[in-house]
Amino acid sequence: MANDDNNDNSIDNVGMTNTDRAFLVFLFGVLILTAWLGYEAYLEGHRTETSKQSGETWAKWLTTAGTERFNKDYAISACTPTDANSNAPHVWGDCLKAITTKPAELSNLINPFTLEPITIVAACDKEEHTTTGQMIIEKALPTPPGSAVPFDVTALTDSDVIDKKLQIHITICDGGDYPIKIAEVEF
Amino acid sequence: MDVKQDDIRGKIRGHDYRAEISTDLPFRKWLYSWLFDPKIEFNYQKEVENWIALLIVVNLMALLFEQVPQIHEPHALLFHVFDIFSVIVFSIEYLMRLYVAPEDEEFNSDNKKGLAYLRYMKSPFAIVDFFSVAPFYLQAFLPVDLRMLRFLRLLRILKIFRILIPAYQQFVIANKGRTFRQKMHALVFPSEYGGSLQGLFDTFIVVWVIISVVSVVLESVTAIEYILHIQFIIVDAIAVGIFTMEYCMRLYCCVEEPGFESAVTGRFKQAKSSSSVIDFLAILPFFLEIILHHLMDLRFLRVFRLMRLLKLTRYTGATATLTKVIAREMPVLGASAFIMLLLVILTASLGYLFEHDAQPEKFDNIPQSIYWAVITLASVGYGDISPVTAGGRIMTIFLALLGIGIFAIPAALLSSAFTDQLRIERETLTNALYEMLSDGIISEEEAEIINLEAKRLHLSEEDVNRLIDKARKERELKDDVSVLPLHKIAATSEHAVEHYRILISQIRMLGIMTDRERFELVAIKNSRLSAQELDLWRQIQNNESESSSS
Repeated sequence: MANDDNNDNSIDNVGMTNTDRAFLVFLFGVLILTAWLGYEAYLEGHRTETSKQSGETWAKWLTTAGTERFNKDYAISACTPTDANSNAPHVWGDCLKAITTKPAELSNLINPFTLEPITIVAACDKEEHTTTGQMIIEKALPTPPGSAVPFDVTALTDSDVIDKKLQIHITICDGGDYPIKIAEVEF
Repeated sequence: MDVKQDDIRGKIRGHDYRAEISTDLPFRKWLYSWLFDPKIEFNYQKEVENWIALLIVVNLMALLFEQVPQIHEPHALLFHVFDIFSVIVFSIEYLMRLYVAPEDEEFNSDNKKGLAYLRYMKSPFAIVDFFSVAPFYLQAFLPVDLRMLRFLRLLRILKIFRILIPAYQQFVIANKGRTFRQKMHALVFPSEYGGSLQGLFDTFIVVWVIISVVSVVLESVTAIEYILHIQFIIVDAIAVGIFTMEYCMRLYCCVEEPGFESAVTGRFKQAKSSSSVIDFLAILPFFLEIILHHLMDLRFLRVFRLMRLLKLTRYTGATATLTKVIAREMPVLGASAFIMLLLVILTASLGYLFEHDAQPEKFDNIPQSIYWAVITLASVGYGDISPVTAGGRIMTIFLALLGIGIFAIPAALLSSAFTDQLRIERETLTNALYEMLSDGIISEEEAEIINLEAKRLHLSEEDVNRLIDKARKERELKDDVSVLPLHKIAATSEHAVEHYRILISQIRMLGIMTDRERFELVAIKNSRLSAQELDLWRQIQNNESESSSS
């Protein structure tokens, strides 16, 4: 097998050969590719961070609402406990609609992966990748004494009554549709 | 051969050797010689520079972590204390360097102390040193913007040039007249041309391996990953960039290595080597995950980034020793593994036989019982599955006792083989010393080889001297052939001839001292000697008689 063109160790052969230049171009190309892929990873990480911030905004809002919604003069009536005059109990679906419909505070939050408003999903879908950047809101109900786990965590459905304080878990789905737990709040 | 003991010992240094600097020197000269003089070997100059470099790196990391409010805010006091500590260390270093400046030829070429101080203060390194601590003192007197202060503190990174520039200059001199690829080879592969820049390159890679592995480990801690998600992505991308560059460079210039000269097959050979495969696997998950993430979920590959830790095996001889030991003991280890396998299958089968009826959910089938068998035989005993029948319990008693012995075999084998390997390596060094002492002198090159081996084998100066004494004694015994074992005598023709002469002489002496007639009678009567042996005896004795009579 023939050696490379600059395999000669003689003292005269001190400059850069074409092979060296070709290698440097290749190396530069590889580094550019690595930098580009790194930037792509950074962008996805940044989108995940934005989703986390949305989740934190939700957590902050729910925490505040959790203390204020039991006051009589609370602005968003759909999120207050059912009063004596109501025909039907107040449920999470109505409250959710009220807080995510414009111009409500949480209606401006955008899913950075789809650039559409964030929607609430039941679970992250790793198979179909349909839930990237979406949010999961779950309720934690205490289990009977003696159970292996202290809480039973299930998705908060539209028909769930919100008359009492609820322990809520907020999770977002990251770029790979893996769940990232954001916070546990009392609503 | 008279070996000059003192001459040898002057050149040999164990890993614990320190320079001998007279305490009679003036304090400033003594301080300079110990801590800052790069021309004195085995003083503390390299250690001082390494510790300062480490402090600079930690400072840089502290600066990066300060940008993360979730880390900085709860630990602001700790960051501040560390900053004060760093400034104190850097200030002491600056003042000490200033104090010893008149001892440095670079600043005191004309023996004028005052000018030496001034020249030092005007030198680029001193200016960098000054600016690395000045912002801290400045904020005590003037209101400085925090962001500006942080930027100024970044100047501390420039202190690293105090190590880099001399190493680079040394590298340029050592590689003058060499090709670009040869220079690259000198940088990435250990060679006589690499100098301290090659050492710094290795250190740089090692530091990034550690940073990268620590990042991967910390990423698995949800609370930390939540805060530093973006930072981990950046660190990983930088690490992959560095490791990819290193991989390409090694593959390109490996043809300068002996045995890898061919452009294609040499590089293919290099790519196939275990260290290159590790290098490749260290970067592969990054590319695969990002390129193929639309097609399949490859997040599980992230854990393989921990393979980067194996890159460190290139920089330690311990792994090579372990590989040799395992390769040498492989047949015995294989036999031991076979016995263990038999025992596991037997135990699992008996466990199933005795316990299946009593505990069908735990001993449902033989494969399921294997878990219990391994846990029992290896003396782990989690206790989640245990026998309840009398037969099962009796069997477990015997098998647990048997398991202790059988499962301990590989550990004992490896331990013993490891000790043997160490002894072999020390004996190899002793043999090398024996050869080196053939001329009674240990040259500078030979001393360098011994010093490198002593460092590799972690031998102290005392250990090396003991080995030299051993080799020297063997060398002295060389003249007295009779005390050497036969295979050593046979290895040298001169020794073999000399030994033969001694044996003939001893046979002649025997003939003189014994009763020859009775000797021959006994030899013939009991067939103690063959006809040829008896002829040879007579021939030797007759020659002796003839030479005596003549």
